Amino acid sequence: MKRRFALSLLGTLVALVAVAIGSTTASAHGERAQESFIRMESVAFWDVKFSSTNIKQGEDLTLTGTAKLLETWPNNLSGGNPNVCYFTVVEPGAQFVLKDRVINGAQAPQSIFCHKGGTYEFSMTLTGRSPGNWHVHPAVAVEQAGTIIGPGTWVQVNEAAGGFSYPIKLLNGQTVDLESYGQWLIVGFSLLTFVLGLAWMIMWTWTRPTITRLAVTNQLPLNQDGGDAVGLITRQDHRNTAIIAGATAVLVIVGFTISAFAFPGRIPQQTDWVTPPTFEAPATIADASLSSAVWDPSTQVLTMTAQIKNTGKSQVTLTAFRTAYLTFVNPTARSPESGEYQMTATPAGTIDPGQTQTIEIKLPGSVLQQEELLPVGKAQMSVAGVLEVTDALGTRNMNTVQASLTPTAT
Amino acid sequence: MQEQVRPRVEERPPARAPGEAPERPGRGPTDWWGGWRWGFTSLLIIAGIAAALRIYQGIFTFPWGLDSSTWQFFWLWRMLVVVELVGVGIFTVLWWGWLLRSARDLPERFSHREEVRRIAVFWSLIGATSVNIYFEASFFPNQDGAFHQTLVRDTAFTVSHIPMFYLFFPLGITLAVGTYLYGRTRLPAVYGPWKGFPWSFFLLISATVTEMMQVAMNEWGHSINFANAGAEEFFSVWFHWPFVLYGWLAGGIFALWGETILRLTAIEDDIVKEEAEVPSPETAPV
Amino acid sequence: MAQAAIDIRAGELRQQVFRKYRFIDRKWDFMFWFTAAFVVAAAADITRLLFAGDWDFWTDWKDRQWWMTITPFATIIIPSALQYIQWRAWRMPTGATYTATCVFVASWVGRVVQWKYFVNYPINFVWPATWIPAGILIDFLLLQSRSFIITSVIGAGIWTLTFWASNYLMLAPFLQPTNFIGHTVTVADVQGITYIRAQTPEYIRVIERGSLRTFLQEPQYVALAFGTTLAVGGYWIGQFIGRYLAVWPILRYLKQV
Repeated sequence: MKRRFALSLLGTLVALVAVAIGSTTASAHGERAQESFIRMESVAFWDVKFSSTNIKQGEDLTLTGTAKLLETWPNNLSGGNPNVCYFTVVEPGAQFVLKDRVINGAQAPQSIFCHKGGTYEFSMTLTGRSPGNWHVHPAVAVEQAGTIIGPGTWVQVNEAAGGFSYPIKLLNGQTVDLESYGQWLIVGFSLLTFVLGLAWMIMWTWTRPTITRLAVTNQLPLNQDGGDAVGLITRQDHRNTAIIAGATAVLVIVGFTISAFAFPGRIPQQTDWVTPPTFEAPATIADASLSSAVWDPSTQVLTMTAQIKNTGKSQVTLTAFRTAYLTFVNPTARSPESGEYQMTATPAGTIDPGQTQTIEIKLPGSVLQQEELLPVGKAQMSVAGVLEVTDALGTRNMNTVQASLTPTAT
Repeated sequence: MQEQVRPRVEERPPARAPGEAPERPGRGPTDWWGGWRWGFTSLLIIAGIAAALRIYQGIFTFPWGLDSSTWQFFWLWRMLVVVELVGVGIFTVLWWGWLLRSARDLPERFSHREEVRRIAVFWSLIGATSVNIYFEASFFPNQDGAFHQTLVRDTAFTVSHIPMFYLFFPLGITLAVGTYLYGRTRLPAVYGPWKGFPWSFFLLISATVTEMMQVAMNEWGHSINFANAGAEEFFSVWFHWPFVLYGWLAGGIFALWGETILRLTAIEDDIVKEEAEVPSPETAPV
Repeated sequence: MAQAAIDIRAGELRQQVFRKYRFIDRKWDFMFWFTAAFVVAAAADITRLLFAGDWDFWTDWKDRQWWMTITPFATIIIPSALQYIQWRAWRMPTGATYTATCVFVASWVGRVVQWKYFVNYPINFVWPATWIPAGILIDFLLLQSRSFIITSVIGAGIWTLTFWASNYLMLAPFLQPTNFIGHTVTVADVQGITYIRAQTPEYIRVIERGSLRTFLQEPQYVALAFGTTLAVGGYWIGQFIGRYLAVWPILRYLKQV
């Protein structure tokens, strides 16, 4: 009775704890611990979209967006000169499979050659594999730098009747299920070798004591066992070991030969790195720069002073500031979408062709602090990102900007 | 490891030494529930702890183990580190303390039967150390390589590090030193203080201690990207290699078996000699 | 006379081999073999994992050039140590097979419990290599040669070749070509691309990339040859562990008794 009560109490406590922490917004994958100035200066993401956030096992979702390796790329990453990148997805394990990857319009199965200042429109097609609610981010891994994570979202994968299978077609025309292909050869052959190993060990340990042999071996030279006369190793042992060793050799030779003939046309693992086409940048309509960035901890506001020069033929508007995986939208230009934040831009309004306007941009410090993107007290105190300027025809320019961060107090 | 020359301990005790309890059936020195009892109970306890932690990880890793900046991570994972370290600390103090305190109450002379029983217990403690080394050097390292594929490492206290580095690593030190204390206090013929500090234990204990120290170098390596080696999850990275080198020092564990086997055969030889001298069954020493 | 003396001596030793003891029964043997299995498996696994783990974790790392250069070295060390210990202590040629069998169990437990059930990679992607055929053959060589020098030189070659052949036959299906994302790659490459590894970007694979001196399809054989020479070095590192870390303390103890 007492035990049942205690178990029920324990179960209730566990359930309460699970519910209490169930309503989590834990959505990051460790990116907040990456240095803020590095995240700001290295890669900016924009227009990241998920085609669906609720799919079944076996159904696709397409993750699109653009990532730019900024001109402000830190000198202490990749020697200041990134040149190999891998567009990937950060999700907790192999809960999805990646079926297609297109960078700037070209298919890229593996790594790509990239460069500082490069802009890459990506489209990655994922297929739901495991039922569950998974947080998914696009990410760019850069050789000798690490993985820079983009904005993420929760994706629900629902169970499908029949579960998940993954047929792929080999060049010889055969279709195999990648989930289990070759598994029985691996498990079966490995188990066979285990049986042989056990046979060897049982042969030596079952039929005779072990530890008491030390008293005898201490009296013999290392390369002698005394033969049948002493009885440590007998002729029978030699015969049995020869049988097991022979069986082992035969198994390996025969297995290798059969495998070589059963799977002809083998090629080595491939390194197929592509240089994606150059991103077709839109016409240049504006130049932008930052002259200052001031952080006021008492008001929790980051104030940036930007100079925007209209080099186009029609009026332009500052529409957004993007840094790392965050977007701050100018509400007088458009409304923020889900996952975006607001900034204030003063003066509001458009900039005429040929005109240069100084704009004061205020960003909410609470957002930056939550994402650990305020580099106050870090090895480099600077802010960077892209200023998005849009003209009346919808042409957008993403101008990389950077300024030293000046806190009013530390 | 000073070598002190001392006269051999006189070891011709009577059949049962004063104060030795009469033997219960099935609880003999080499019965499974006698001398060998700790052999499998310690294994079950350690494996049970590992299983419990693995189940805990299965429940609380996704998503709360992925982002160390959240409050959920603080309470579910950082606090677990505290629980583990405090738990190992308490166990260490209690166990080592008991080993040393109870040693004072042990009779000075004990029978061959009792010494054999103690060697069986000693082997059980070596077994516990061995099982612990398996969890610290195989079971959880496999998980470490696997888990770090699911996130960007953002703290030294990742989900896979927490049981490995902050429970089984320090527990290894506790078990190795505790086994030595048992040997020193219960097996004077093999590990008595006048024999100096044995090389076998020096190597085994060094392995556990240096492994613990290596955790610091590991985290340093992962955090600074020195020579471009910390940025990616390359399991064979150079600052992981000292884990292997220190682990090899645990080869001293074989010497523990060897030394006690030699003592066992010496006891058996003594029994034969004593029975040859005193053939009467009533007075034959056991 | 000399032969008679030898016979008498052999007879005495034989008596000791088959001697019955009061307290030393087969339980001691069981406890030794069973409890040692954990530490042996752990030592072998950690050596393999941290010296050559990446090549063992993934099919798309098991290439022609690097896999068999590094893995034989990493995997022969602990079997060599156990060969010395078990030959020296018991005159049993079981060290390599024992190690290989113990690490087999530890590897599969690790891959299934952690790689498959914790983070969901399919087992045909993350399967561990088997060392057992290689272990049996070099144990057999030790028994026949009774020489650690012969076992190191010839045994390293047997180890490398057997290790490769016994695992290549399981890898072969994954080296078949297929078209994926518009390019011809192997099935192993597809596994690496499609089963997302957040922290193993494809470029960190240390595999054959080709060079002006790739010697006309010979990289596999060059790797096997160099892997063998490295394995000789690994064998003697193992001998050092067996002789000086495991057995030498016992000899020191014996001097004090």
